[in-house]
Amino acid sequence: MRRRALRALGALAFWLALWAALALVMRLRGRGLLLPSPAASARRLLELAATGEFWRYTLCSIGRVTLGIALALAMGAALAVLCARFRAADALLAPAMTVVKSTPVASFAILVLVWLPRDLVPVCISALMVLPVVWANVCAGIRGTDASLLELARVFRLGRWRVFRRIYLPSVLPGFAAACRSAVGFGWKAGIAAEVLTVPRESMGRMIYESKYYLQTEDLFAWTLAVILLSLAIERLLLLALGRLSRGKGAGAGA
Amino acid sequence: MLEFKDVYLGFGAQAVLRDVSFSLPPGGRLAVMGPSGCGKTTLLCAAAGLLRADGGEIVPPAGGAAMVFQEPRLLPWLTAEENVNLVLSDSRVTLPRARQLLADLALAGAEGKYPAELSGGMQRRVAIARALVLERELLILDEPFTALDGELKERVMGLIDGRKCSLLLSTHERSEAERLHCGVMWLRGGGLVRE
Repeated sequence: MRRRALRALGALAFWLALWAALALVMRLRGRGLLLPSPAASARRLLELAATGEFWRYTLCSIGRVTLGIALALAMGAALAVLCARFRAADALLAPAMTVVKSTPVASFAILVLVWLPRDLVPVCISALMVLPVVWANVCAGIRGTDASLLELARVFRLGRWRVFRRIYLPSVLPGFAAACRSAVGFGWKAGIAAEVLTVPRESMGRMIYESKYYLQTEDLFAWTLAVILLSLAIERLLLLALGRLSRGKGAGAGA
Repeated sequence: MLEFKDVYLGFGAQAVLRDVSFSLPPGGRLAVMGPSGCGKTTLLCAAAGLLRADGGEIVPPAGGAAMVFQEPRLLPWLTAEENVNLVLSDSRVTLPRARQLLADLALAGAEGKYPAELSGGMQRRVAIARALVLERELLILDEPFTALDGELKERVMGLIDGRKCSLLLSTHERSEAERLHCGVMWLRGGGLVRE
């Protein structure tokens, strides 16, 4: 465990050193503006974090992306149940999911901007990008449910709720957890990209866009760092919640 | 009462059961014997309602069935006690009879263990406890004693023998059928032959 942590720290130190070296070279060539150093980016992030504006914009972005991911998790799971139950639904949805998965964020964002207010576009884009991942993982979990356990349930006449709670749910949970893990990364990237493209008034995406527009690269890196750190923190929180759920599943709750 | 009337059952073109007829009255006991692959498990699964007859009719017992499968089929994410409770109407409460059954099957102290922490024999006994806790009209046992050694096997057979329900047993051992006071039927070429 300790060795793993040391290795991870070593890798982080390597990439930071590389970044710092490249930034130094750029500065020596008089192009420091194009690549700020890690220290300058971190310093700028701390400066931004001291302002109320930073937190307001960050919370707005978190809200949008979280809402999008939550919608995708709920819809993805519901559609997967539908597809597992009805073959026709699966035949209908599978190609649609492939199309959604392959369509670039920019195409969706511009299209959705025509239909929805700009504040809602990142919500919609996050949901669309996460939906196929959740759907595919939950479908695989349902299909991978041990048929012999379902036979057992039939012989012992277990009720539908108990079969769902005791057999399907624990079978699907590992796939769902994996989907959640991917979902946070996808959702954030897609949501922020959509914000950059549609520039809602209070958003991290707008700040990234303006940093680029005014060539404030330190701000650009600082906001990007904030997005990465938040993505990691939310992923951790989600996995913690899922870990609790899977630990509690054997505790005998629910008839 | 369980009744098979001229039952035909096959997988694809291959017939497994041909014109199988028998009835098992309340409290009756029957053992199905025959070489491996002769269709014993198919017959038991049909009796449990897991397979439909392609011909003839199967009349299931009105009071339902409990079954011990060839494999323990325990839910890996539930403890031994929770696996037994699973089939009860309120799975949150361990009934005294469930606790007593686990103790009778030499599983006292293992109630909180997960299947992966139990030996093959212990898993088998949990599966037996799960089937016995319900007191259904028909108890179906598919080679239930394979992972059990002498003393434990006798203990388990004693417990099953004490039940008043009907019994349908699949076994390779005539002694098991005799110990449980079962009439013996042989399954040969898909058909049943009564001794």
